[in-house]
Amino acid sequence: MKAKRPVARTAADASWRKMLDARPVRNAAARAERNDEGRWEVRVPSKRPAYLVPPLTWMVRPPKHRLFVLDDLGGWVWEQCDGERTVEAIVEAFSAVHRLTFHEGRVAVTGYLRDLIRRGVLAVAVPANTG
Amino acid sequence: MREWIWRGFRFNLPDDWELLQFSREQGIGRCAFADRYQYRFEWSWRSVGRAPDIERLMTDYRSKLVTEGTMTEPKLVALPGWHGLAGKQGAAWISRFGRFFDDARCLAELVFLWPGSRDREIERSVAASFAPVPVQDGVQPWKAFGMAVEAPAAVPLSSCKVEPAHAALTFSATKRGDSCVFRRLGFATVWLKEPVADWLRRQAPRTVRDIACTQETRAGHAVSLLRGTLPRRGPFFPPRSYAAAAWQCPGDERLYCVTQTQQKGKPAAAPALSCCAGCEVRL
Repeated sequence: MKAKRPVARTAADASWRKMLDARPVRNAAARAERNDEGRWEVRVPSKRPAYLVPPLTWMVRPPKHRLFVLDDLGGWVWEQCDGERTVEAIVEAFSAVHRLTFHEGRVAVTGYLRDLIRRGVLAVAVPANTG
Repeated sequence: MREWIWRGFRFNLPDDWELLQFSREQGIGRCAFADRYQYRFEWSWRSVGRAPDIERLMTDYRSKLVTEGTMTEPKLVALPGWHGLAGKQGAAWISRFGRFFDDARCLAELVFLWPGSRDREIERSVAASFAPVPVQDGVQPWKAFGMAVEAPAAVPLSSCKVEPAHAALTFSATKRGDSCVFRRLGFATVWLKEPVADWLRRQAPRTVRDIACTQETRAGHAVSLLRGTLPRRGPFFPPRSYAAAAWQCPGDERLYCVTQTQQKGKPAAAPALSCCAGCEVRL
């Protein structure tokens, strides 16, 4: 990342500790199973759009699930999200497995987490009182 | 402590402080380092013609902070060769030190952010390790993102790409068309499904002719080398040579790659890339 603004002016008290203390949890409504290639396939129930009402739904049937096939790294991250492990613990384990520095692992893992949260595969529990 | 070399200066920082923000510019810029929880250290530089009165600058800055009330208990501090200022800003301590390096004509400022109490020993050792690294034999050393690099001094750093498990430093001079690219790639066990020599050959531009591939072993590293010729880009452009080397370090299992493109008949200094203490590959 290129330098943006002096960190001493803006980030003296800033910390990403709160993000690292968060605990990602799987969507309880999602169903996951391995496909023939050994990759995780996660089916997330999809919400019917408000405009899809009868008689439109007699002709257009919205899918009940959205299917996400996770790649090897994404599948590994998804497996770790048991609601017990913190993001920091997942980053540490990911960095150890792939021999990355902590921040390399952090950027990779949080990228996957962000993607999975956006797609409704995961949710994140954030502790109430952390620095 | 781990050594870093950036923009012609070397310094040692605690092992877990990583470079998260950086500038490529020579004249004025900044690098910021963080531990796993927050930013901890910032180094900023500015090329200046003559030595400023840093003690005076710090005194004026202290007066400004007292007037504004942004820092509590600001006090002047010093380390050998450095003048500084320390105080509490919010919940964190901040200490900053300035110094003018006469040979490099460069004003350097080091800023430490301390979430708890100040660690004077770290301040002292970082400041003591801070020194300019002059150009020697036409090459300028750089050390960052797990790579120790020697790049031709005549070719400036034009791009620095840092992603998880992929760091690339590109040095290029647009007029001459010379360039050097140093890369360090992780996750090799995931994506590298072919011999390194084949991968290196696929990385070469399609227009490369007269390709010669060789293999060497250096300090236990199997290094693949490739040399070739690039055709003229036009009637007024000279032909260029292309050289590349790649290997997988058994220590960290990452793939290292260095490539150089330069005008034929006007050889620049040979770039070198090291992955670990035992292995340096110079093209």
